[in-house]
Amino acid sequence: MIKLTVNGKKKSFAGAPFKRLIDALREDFALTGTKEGCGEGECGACTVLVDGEPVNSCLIPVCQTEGKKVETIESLGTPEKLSKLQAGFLACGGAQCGICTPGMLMTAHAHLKGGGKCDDKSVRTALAGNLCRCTGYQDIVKSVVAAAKGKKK
Amino acid sequence: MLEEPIYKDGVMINNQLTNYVIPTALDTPPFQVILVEKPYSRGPFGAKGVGELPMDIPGAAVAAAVKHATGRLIPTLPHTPERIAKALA
Ligand code: FES
Ligand code: FES
Repeated sequence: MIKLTVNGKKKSFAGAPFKRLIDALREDFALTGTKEGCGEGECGACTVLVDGEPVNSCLIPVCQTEGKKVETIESLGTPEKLSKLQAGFLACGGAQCGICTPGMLMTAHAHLKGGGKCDDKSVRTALAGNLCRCTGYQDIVKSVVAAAKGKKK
Repeated sequence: MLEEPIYKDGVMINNQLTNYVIPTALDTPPFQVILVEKPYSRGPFGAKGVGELPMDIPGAAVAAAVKHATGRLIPTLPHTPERIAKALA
């Protein structure tokens, strides 16, 4: 039995310990906000935070999160009450097809929470491991910068 | 400049993001979209497609820029560094 915290709630997982974290989240914990892009650690669509660090949930087995805190996109906000970042994406058109978006948000969230800078270059560097096929990144970066600036006020 | 699908027996063989590299946030230059509202005579009500334009125009623009810089028009896209080096050799 694997014990972990998912979005602040204590959970236990009795399935195969080598199940990919993304599958455990989506299938066993019904948290389908996390998306699978490539399944091979290249795209970052599946990014979740493990103890605050962004990780590719398609690459790690759920047993590696024993005793750890996992945060998924569902922890950021709700449709009624969006987080600052999500509101930024909405306002600046930071999502097109939306497959990369949960990963972008989690990576950006970790970047800003960790005290990362919110200028164009720093945000681009932070998001360099998250691929987006639709937007050309410009509006994603704009969204993050706008959200971060709003936060500082 | 980056993306070159390679086919073998009708199947794309570089079909992973490890070997078919696409631009990241750091590779993508700033861009500005300018809509030119000029009706197309053969489209219904003057309509024309816009979905593929980001694919069509930058390739030609890169080819033109390479020609401007080197004097050589390289007829095949993408303009990978290897292709440019070969054309100039
Ligand atoms: S799905 Fe995990 S990195 Fe692409
Ligand atoms: S919005 Fe489609 S991949 Fe980023």
